Amino acid sequence: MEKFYNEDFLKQLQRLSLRTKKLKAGIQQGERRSPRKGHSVEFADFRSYSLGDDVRYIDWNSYARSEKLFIKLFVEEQDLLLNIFMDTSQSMDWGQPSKSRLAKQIAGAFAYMALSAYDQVAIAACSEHLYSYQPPLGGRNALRKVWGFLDALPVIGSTRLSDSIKEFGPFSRRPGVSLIISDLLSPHDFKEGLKYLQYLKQEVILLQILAPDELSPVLHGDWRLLDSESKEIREISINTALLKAYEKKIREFTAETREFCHRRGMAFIQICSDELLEDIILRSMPRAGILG
Amino acid sequence: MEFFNPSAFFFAVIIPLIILLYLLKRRYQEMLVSSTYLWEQVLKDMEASMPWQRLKKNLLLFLQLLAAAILILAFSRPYLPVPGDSDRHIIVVLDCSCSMMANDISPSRFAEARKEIENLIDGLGKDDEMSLIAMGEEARVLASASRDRLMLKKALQDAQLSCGVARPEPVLAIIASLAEDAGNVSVIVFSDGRTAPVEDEFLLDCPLEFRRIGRDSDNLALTALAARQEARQMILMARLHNYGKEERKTELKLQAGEALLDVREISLPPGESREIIWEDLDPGNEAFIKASLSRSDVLMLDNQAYAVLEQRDNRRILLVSQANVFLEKSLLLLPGVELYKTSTQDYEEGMDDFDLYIFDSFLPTALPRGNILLLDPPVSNSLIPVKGEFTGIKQVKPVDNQPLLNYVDLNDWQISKCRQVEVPNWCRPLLQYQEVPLLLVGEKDNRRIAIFTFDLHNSNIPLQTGFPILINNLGSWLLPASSNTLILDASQNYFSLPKMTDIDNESIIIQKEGEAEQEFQAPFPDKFPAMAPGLYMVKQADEETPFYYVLKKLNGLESDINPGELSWKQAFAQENEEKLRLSKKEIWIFLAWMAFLILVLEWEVYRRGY
Repeated sequence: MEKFYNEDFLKQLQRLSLRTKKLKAGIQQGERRSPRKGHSVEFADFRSYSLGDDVRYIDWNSYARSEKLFIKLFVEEQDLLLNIFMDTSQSMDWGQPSKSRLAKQIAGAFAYMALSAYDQVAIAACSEHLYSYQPPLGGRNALRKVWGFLDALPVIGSTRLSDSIKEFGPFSRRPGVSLIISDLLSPHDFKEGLKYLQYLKQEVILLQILAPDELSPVLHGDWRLLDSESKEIREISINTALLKAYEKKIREFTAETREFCHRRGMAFIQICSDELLEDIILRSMPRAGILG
Repeated sequence: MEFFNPSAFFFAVIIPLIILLYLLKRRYQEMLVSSTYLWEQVLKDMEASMPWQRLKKNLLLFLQLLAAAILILAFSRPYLPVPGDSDRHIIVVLDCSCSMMANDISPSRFAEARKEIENLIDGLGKDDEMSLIAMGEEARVLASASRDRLMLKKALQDAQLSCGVARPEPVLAIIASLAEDAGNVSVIVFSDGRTAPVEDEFLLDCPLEFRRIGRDSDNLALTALAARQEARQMILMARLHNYGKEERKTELKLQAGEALLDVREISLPPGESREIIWEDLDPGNEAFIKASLSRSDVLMLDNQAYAVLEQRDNRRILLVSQANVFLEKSLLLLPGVELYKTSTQDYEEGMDDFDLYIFDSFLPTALPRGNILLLDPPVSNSLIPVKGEFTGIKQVKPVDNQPLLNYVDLNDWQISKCRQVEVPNWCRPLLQYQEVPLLLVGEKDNRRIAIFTFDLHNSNIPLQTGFPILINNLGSWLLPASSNTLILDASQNYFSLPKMTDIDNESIIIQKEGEAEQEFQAPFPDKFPAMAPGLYMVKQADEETPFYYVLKKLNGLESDINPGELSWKQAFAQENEEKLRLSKKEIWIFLAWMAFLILVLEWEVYRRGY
């Protein structure tokens, strides 16, 4: 995976972090502020003293001014769990440039960012099932293992995101951020899976990768189209009107997905496989409010 | 909508062919795609939202089918009945019959009709068409659906007057075929109304306009002149008819060559005819008699007539017999014959200038040129195979009703024996007894031949009353009147010369009576022209006397020049019918344009890849 990234890019990655909408409560101390008020040095708030509170956190200066007992609350810095769901179905291997290659680069970059910030990264490979799972790893030393796992992911099967995500359920230990990278091109629904992730208290980021020929195909005449996953054949006479209808369909599909994500508080970004990794990570993602 | 050419719908077979070709044309290229999910969605959407989208897929096919259908429709030449009389097609019929020669309108009815048609040509509209038909014994199309005025005028000048009668039926047949394909057709007939009647039923749905040409009916005509030689006497009969509306007087003049035979003053009331007979005329050696009327009227052609006289030379008969008194006596009863006799021993082959040879129990090896009557054919002759003799003939029976046996009473005819002969193909039996022929007649090598298979001496026939009648009948047949006159009726414009061996000259001269001579050099044409009525004399270049006469007669119908109504008007649609104001507007040109535009559209669709 190292060959995908140069030093400059990695340095720039270190300056970025996932902009989660709400902090997820972690179990290990990390560099990320936890929603739990704890024992760190960063002051967060006051609250009235109640019986049983640790008397060491009573703010005596406030007592002197107001003769009331207040407890000082501090922000507890905790780690974040980033779950990366990789669509490894055969459709991801189609198109020029390859979607799966870009998907691995993006996943690798996210993993690098997370591990650099002492967060934890878990990776789930999805096709018809959750056929491979890398449990959460933390620390910069885990980077090689994570990248190695990503590198070794084969392209196999067809896309059934919801089924795969549901199979991920038992492995989900705590809230976190879930990054789903897929082309979403499947007759099988993916929304149920996303809703299930939210149920698992995951902040969902949906990243759709499409090849240029999927976004605006350059075809004319009579074609026998072979589905790379189902191997089904569809005979079709492609003319300008049909191409326009296809492009309209893609736009509608994107808009519908975007609308769904927006309504459910998920982040959504669609990228084309011919975009540069740097552009995606350093420009498109911060612009979409995913990285900051 | 109706069609001029509905057979073009057979071309509709091209439509399934186009569909077939379209199906065969489809060649799918195979391609692996990430997913057909979205394509399926698109197709489903398109078909669901717009049912015709399914059709739109094959827009090119449908445009091609539409273009083909419209082209086929255009080929069938549909037309719509539209009101108005634009794009007229005027069919002009010009009467070219003899009565149009009448000069009651100066210079003639024919010239007047031509002048009026020229005016009509000058008044033609830009899109009007005109057809010209000359109506005579036959119909002749001078111009067909032409817009070229110069051509029409030239065709009009080519129209020729004939001396025949105007026959409308062929003209109506041509009009029917011309009107079939045209839209707004009208027919204008220029005629004096004197035409032959129409017997077949015609019904044309185009209007007729009749322009009557002619004013006067003043015509005194010589409708017949005939001469008959009877013994030493010549009888001549002439018939006159006054077609005018007033009583007319004229002098009838008879001439034989330069000699005036008779002149008579004749007065005829209107509408009456009279026959005049002369019984004591002596035309001398002249070959024909000419009768003429002195008074001039509007049609001069029928003011003269000719009668050709029969030749007076006696026919020569050679009787070759040992002795046959009965036969000799019967032969002498034949009119205008000279009988010569010789015995079988004295007969020589050089005797060949006789019209009829009678051989009795004898036949020379080389037959002479004339006709032959053979009695009792000898065994082994060159004419008829003799197989033997037959006796016991009880009753002589005729074979069918033969004109040669007219008035011959066969009762009591007795024959003791006869030759049994084999009947050759060229002759047929006239008399027989149970399939045994007794009298045979036939023609062989341009000779007329009659054969009695028995010797007259072995029968009682010469004593019967029927015998001289039979010889007379046979004599008339074996000595046909030498005809050197050909009579042409008004519809025949050409004549052929008879096959005469003695035309040995290099050139012949044909002269119409009263006109200049015309010389023809060998090889002679098959047919010689005889357009105008009158007497044509044919003679060899070095001889004074004509050897052949051709008499071309007028049609008696044409002498009646009284201008009248057309008798065949009812064959046409009546003017006041609503239908007549409808012209047939062809729409193929619009369809052709439409097909062209569809083809352009198809090209554009193809180019844009819809």
